[in-house]
Amino acid sequence: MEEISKKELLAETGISYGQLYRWKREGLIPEEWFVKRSSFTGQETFFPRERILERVKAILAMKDGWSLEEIRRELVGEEDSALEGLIREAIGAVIRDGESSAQAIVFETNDGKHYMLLTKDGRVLADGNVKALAVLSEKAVRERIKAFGETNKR
Amino acid sequence: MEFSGIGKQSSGKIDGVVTIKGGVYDDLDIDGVCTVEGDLETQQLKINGVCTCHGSIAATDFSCDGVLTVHGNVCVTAIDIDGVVTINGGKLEADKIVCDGVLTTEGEISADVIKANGKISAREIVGDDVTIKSYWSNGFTKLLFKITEKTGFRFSQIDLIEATTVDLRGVRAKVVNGRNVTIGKNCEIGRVDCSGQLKIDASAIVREITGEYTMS
Repeated sequence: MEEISKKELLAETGISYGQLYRWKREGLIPEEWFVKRSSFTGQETFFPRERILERVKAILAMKDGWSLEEIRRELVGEEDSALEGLIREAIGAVIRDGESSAQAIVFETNDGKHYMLLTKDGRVLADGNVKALAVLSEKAVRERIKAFGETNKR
Repeated sequence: MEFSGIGKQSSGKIDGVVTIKGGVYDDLDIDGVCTVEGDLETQQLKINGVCTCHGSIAATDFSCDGVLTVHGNVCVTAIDIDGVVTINGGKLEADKIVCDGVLTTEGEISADVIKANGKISAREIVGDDVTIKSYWSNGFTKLLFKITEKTGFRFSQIDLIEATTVDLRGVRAKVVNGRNVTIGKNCEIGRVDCSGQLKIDASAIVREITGEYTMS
């Protein structure tokens, strides 16, 4: 796969370091696309050329009318579903282990995506922000949801 | 005193010597000595005492006047550090970081705006507007730091600084990349790459300069 260096990317697209790193934090540019390699000048970062140029072009086209959150949902939708899937799966495991019934709801508000874990009689076991969960590692998400389930058993 | 981590607590104030599991709060005020076993998610977080968090922290507004050690990521909108914050094995992401205290991490710090008059040790600092002015030199601190001079205590030490605008004083860095870069007093930099305006103080040591820049 053809690659482009970070420096070349900024020069070619006209974006700034600030924009690049803000978009990375917001999940608009996946961390996996930042590939560090040793070059004759030292450590340099490279990206998959076609994908990054396409992504930056799309963000630049959308950024004046859309919020970064909206752009992320539009461009990175599939990754959101993966996170949703992870929450549902982890909650499913809690339910199986705890032999209790509960349901998971993932819903969207203006602030982003939220999740809620409810018992049958509507008691809230857990709720939070999906983005915050995304910041926590996958392992932390599973452990956290499992901990809620264990507390519920008591 | 113990909190359980179920559901959402509204506000919590923690005093004394306490261990909490973690959880979701609106506001959390930590005085005393506190251990957080898991992840913490709050709107407002204030740490005045000594806190160790074994998970990650997500908060809107975070201020630390005390001592905090985190064994995970820290993801906040704004963080104000007057105390000592150490991040082990995770990254710090924020819209705005203000540090008049000491911030140490082996990982990455990524923020739109970083304003530091304190001391930062990090592998990477990336963002939009990065200002780090370590190396205080008023009367009393001059005497104090003369004693610690050999240890380089008063300098911030960073491997890579990369931002749209960079303004440094008293910083030791291997690489600085930016659009508009100011290398101020008492800096020691391996390589600067600049694509806009570059300013280098006479007292600063810069070993290599690359890029298409204008010297001012």
